[in-house]
Amino acid sequence: MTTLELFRTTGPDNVRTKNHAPGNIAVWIFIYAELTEFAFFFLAFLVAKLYFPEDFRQGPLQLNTLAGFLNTLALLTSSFFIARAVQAIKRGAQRQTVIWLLCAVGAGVTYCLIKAWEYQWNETRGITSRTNYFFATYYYLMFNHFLHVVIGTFTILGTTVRAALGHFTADSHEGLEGAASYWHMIDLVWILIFPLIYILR
Amino acid sequence: MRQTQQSREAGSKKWDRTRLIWLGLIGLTLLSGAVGESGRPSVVATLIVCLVVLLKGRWIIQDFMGLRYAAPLTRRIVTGYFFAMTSMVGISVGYLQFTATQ
Repeated sequence: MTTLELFRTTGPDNVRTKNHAPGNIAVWIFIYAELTEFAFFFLAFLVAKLYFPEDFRQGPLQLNTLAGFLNTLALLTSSFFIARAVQAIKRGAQRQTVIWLLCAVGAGVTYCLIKAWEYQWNETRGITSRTNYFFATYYYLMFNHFLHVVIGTFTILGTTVRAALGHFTADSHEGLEGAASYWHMIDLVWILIFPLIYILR
Repeated sequence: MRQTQQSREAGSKKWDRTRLIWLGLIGLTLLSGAVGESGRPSVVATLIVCLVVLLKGRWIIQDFMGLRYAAPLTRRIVTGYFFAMTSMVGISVGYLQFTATQ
């Protein structure tokens, strides 16, 4: 297979016309950069876990697992809303697209509120980033992901405004697909963060 | 008119693949939570959780991101990344759990 063929869209003929790599190459380079950044975070977390096993054995037991679980549900649901928005614009249903995007923004805000509750919950128990090595890496990873969710939520909000103003059509919606891919990337990273921090002890 | 008809058709598909995938993802999250919270941590539990994570990642990449029929390079990079990261986490945590029990 040549490099050119690797970039070409594949799939059954009837699907090929409908599906393609969502967004554009610039969005995907940005997504790859973000994924690389998180790969270093995961690596740093595992190295710290190897060097300070006692901190990492006791640390997860003090966490608010319910908050982590609720945030997982919020992000998975937001990804569902985004997928629906993309499906809607492909049908040319502009009003439905805006509604689904607003639902996704709501899910993003819900994530932020749950995260704020979790930080507050930690603080009342005297847990800070200086408590031990586990919590230092926990806050480092969590706050970074939280920052990405905030950026993603504002991106989706901006995309919603553009969709409401009629900037996207059934034939032209690259910007919406790009924002959607970025949001799914945030969800994909959380899929791994959730067990790494809360479940695998 | 055509758009309205298409919207109605889409709305009538109550249990389409996207909705089933979303419900499956919620179910798998509950499963991994139950495995993690039940009993002592073990290598088997870690293996199950990692397999669940891989399945969830596959669904998000192929169905939500829409990379199922996308350019192979894009799909392979994202899928390969997720497989590598999950394997790295699984092997590291499994190794630590195994050595702790010896």
